[in-house]
Amino acid sequence: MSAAATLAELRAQIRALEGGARVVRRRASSGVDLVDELLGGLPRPGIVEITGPPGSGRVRFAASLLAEATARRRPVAWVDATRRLYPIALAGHGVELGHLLLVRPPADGSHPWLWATEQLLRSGCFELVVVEPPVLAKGQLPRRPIGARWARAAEHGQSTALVLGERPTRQLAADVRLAVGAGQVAVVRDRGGPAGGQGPLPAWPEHVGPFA
Amino acid sequence: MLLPQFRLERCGYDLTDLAGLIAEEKSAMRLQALTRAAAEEGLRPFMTATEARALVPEIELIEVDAEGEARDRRALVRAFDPLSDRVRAPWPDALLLDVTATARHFGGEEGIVDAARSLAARLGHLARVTLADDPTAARALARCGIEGVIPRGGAAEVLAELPVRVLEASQALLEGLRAVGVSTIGAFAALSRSAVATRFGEEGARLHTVAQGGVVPGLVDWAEPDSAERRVRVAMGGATSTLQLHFVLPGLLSQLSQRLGSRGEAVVRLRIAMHLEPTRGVPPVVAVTLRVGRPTRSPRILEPLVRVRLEGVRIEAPVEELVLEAVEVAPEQGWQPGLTDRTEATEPLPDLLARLADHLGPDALCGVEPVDVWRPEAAWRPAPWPPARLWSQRRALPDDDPVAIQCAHEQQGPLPRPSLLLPEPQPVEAQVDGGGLPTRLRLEHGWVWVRRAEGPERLRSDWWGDEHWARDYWVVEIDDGRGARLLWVFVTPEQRWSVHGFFD
Repeated sequence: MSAAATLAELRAQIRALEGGARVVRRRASSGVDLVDELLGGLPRPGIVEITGPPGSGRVRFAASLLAEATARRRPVAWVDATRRLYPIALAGHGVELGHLLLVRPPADGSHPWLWATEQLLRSGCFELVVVEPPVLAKGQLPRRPIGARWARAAEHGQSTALVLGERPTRQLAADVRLAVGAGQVAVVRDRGGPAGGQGPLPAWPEHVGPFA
Repeated sequence: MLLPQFRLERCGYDLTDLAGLIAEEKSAMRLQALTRAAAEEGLRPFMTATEARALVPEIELIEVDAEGEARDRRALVRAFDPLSDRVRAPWPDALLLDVTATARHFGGEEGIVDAARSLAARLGHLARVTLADDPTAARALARCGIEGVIPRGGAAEVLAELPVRVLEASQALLEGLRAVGVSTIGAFAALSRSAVATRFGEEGARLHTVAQGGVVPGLVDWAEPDSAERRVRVAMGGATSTLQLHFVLPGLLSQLSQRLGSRGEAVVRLRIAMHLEPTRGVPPVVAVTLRVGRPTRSPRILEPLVRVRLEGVRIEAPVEELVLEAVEVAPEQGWQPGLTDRTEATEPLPDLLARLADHLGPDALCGVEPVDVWRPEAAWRPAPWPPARLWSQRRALPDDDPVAIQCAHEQQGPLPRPSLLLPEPQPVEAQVDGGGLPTRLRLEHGWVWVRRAEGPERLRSDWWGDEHWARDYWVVEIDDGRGARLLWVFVTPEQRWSVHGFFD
């Protein structure tokens, strides 16, 4: 038996021994067919990381999830650390702007957006909290385990964080990692199910899509 | 401290703007205050708005907002707390600071004058700071441009050459003095005190004392009867860390809560003041304020907010006394959770918003309100969140009116808008084909080909407005080596191209 197979078997035995101690992440229907089919819904509580190059459609994807949440009259929050979000575009995607709290933390070295996100998740007042971190050079992100803090906060408030980024963030330890690009959404990692699934990005709404 | 332009500065104008404040007076809208630039154009207070516009057509006139001015004046008084615990605004254009006990902490009287001047400058106000024995004398000197420290007992000499009117005497007193040939303060001071009191009464006697370099007590009532009821204090015996302050907070907040409860009030804004042991170069009082999202007097809610607020405070000298004061209160009304609040919420939404606003600053949180203008960057504005009517909104029932149905059918839908908008359009070079279609753009990495372009969407300023701009917007698809990207670019009539946003 190879070393890898032995390790896998041992891990399986450990999991079996741990039994119910494993935290089961509940999945909640997002209202977006693609997400519900690929993931069985959004992890709630949980952290979903959406990565892709600029212009790949990360914001469009997040907006489709917000549109569904606000259509159910649920307040949602967007932590816009880049201060570049154009909320009018979100309205074009069907987001009810009255239900959107926009948080634009000051840009200082203490990373107040991390704290703000944690507070929003912990409060439980928001079903979805979208976070667009500032563009940081390598090493500028604090080394503290953001993911663990956010995960505890999300569990406390039974909420979901959608984190947008160009590349995966190691400190985040997301429950689900999605890669967006070339008009597709692919599941790179899913703690509650298999990875590897993919599907087309939600289409642009009528009129607001370029080259429609 | 004279703030000659305070009323206009709070509206965002400076000395060079042509602007004035107007209010109704004697059946007409009349100028109440104006900038220096407006005064140099020949405008004067009490001139009617019509006359002012006739003389200077480009002048901006706005109505006096008495309530807003009073609020800003109170804020200004609080801002000067670090210099003295006795700050008042007895006049509309001046602040009065009693620095008798605090000047030594700033290196003496010269030091505190400099500190006051620089604080005013940081707050964006033009200020003339004069330190004298008597407030009326100090204000008169500041009005005449005489700033700095007037030596003790030396005010009479400095005032002597100035006209009596700078003491803001009544018209009757001025005319009475003019009738006996007195026009300067020096000549006024030389008159017999008893004769002045007999002839001009209390006002004459008071200003005569000022003219002679004396001090008139009682101009300002430093005591605040109401505030004592809203203030609690505890001796700290030289605490050196905020942890020690945390121990006394629950008891102190309970005490404050009881006092407010007896008046049926709740805290809107709380001031936390730490009185420090006298130490050279350290202000005697360090104060921070916090605003709560909804009026409350619950120590359970207030305590964590105060703790968070104290986290960022540096204690540079031992704390002798901790004082909590409810500087702004509102009637206690309780709170009923909204119907749409999540059942999973672990704290009331207003408390969360208050904590975030307190930590990040009030401008960091907002709702989004679309604005019906063409200029893309002005097409939305920050709005209070949650909007007041949000929770009571109901979906409109289908309208059977055929005209409404037709209008809705003909109404043009929203046009493509980028999800990310640059704060300022970024100029780029572009090459266009014969039809004006962009074919190449020079971005930060060099020239890139435009794969597809859609447009133009022509946006123009309103012809009746002050702004004049015109932009033809294009959605262009490029591939800069990192995959296809959609950009929102525009070109002006001068053929200047700029990137304004990105579709993501």
